[in-house]
Amino acid sequence: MTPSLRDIDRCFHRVLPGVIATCDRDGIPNVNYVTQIQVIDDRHIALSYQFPTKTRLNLEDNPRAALEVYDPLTLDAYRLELRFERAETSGPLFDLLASRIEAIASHTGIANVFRLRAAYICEVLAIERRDGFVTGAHAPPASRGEPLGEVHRLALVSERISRARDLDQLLTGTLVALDEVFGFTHGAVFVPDEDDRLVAIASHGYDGGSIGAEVRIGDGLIGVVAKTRAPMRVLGLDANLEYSRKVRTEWERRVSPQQARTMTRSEIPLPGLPDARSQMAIPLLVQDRLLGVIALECRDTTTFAQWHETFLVVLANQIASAMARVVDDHEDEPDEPSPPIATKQRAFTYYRIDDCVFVDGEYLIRNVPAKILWKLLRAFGGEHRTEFSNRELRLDPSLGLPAHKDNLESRLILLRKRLEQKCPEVRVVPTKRGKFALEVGCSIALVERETA
Amino acid sequence: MAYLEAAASILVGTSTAELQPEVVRGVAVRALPGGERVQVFVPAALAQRTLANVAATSRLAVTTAGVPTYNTIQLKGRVAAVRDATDAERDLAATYRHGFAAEFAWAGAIVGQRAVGVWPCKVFELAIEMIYIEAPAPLDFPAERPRP
Repeated sequence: MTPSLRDIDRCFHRVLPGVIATCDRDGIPNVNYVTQIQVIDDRHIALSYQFPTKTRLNLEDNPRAALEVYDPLTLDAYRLELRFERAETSGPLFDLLASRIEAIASHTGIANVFRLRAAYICEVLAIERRDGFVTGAHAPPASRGEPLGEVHRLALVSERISRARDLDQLLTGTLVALDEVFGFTHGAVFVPDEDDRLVAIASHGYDGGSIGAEVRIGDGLIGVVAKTRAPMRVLGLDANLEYSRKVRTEWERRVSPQQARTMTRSEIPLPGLPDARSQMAIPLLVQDRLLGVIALECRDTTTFAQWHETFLVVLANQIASAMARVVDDHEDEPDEPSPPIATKQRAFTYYRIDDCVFVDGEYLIRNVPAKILWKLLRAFGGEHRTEFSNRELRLDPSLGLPAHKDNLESRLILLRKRLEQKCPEVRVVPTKRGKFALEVGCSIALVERETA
Repeated sequence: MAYLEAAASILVGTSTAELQPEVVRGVAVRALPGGERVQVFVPAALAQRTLANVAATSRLAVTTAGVPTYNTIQLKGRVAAVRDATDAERDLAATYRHGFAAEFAWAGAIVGQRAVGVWPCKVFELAIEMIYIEAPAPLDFPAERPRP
């Protein structure tokens, strides 16, 4: 049976780069790798063009090409016969391909150098499996369930989302459910913060270590998804990054040090798993408003399939709607009494220049959540207040909360979780709707400074 | 030439007389004394179109790449002779299998018990006319370096 583009989707994620042969009008062949391939529809693919290569020149000279791609799971090779149709330098398809390249290039600091110049649209005239390319028994990938089973899984996660009564339960519960139901072991939810950044307020699989992790909008997969507001999957992340680093090294070798400094940035560490091989990120949108990004990653190269992306988009819509619903919708019941905490002193320092709070010399939190914490600690230290309301925070202009859509709930969750990690003696505890308590199980010292 | 022979990834391109290109993976490149010619080994199971194209046009391009750097060298020229590989040359192809497996392993592929087929082979003797170096991409700089 002739395979379709859909059948060989795994081949197009550059886990193993494809190879392409072209020839010029005189019949002189050229053969090389293809950096990115994007399936457009059942009969068309787009090849990325970042460099002035002979492949590109040949396609404009003679539109015929042969492409060989590889399934990273089965090792099967497929030969595609192509006919170049047109080059696109703008539009939705160009933007999609450009964002995939930007997601990798921005990680390695070469977004200004390694960027899409054009998408070369090719018609796929024929696809054939290369018999004889591999030896050994063909072991089909383990079945991931019948369609009905997948829909059932979708319903299970959806139910978990619907039952959530506060934002923390919604986000953390969803990440846990995605692990239990789909096997996505590592995930986090990032929400927009000040300074064009996203900050993680919920995570699963990292032992809480990623709470507070920041990503600049436009940087890496998560930042690019926030910027483009479109879902994205990157398989073979390590291979893509390695290639991008080699491009950077070679480019820096060929230009002046000044140009290298001007055009590149330091590599951005990946938040989360240091050895992730695949990532998927989906924007959380309500109408045109970005509420956050749900980011999943895995050490396995091929965990995330096309249907996962489709399902996650459905779930992301539900999560975003639920996020909008549960804001300020705290449970009426107070939390369980907290265990007694041994009394000791914790020293908090607030740096005005960048709105950062450190505890015992260690970074705790910054921006609006830091200003909120500082307000609470000062009220506790001066007036011995322990009860607060969301309303008074919203009315305090010194906190810099926007008048509308202030993400206060997300900021309080981030503050609560950072305190759990770095200073468990101080807790922000929801009490009833729109109210919370500051529980302090130690003596505190407060110092305010202009700079470090 | 040592770099060429040590490459883990070998790509072979040809074309029909009607300008339909063909790509196939080779399994070994061996430089002949004098540096004017190389032998390119292609698994016979995959070589049918390449054989037909070479018979029709004699033109062939071979690109070798290190993994994972993808520093590539491309040789272009005309095929002077085609023959079956001999048993004495079987080790060349077997060596390639390990290098190729390393490429796939580096890329994170899950290959289980599967391996690329490397034998028997056809051998294409290429008279080199042009050499191109791309490391790992041509960027905005002249990539073509005609052989002196």
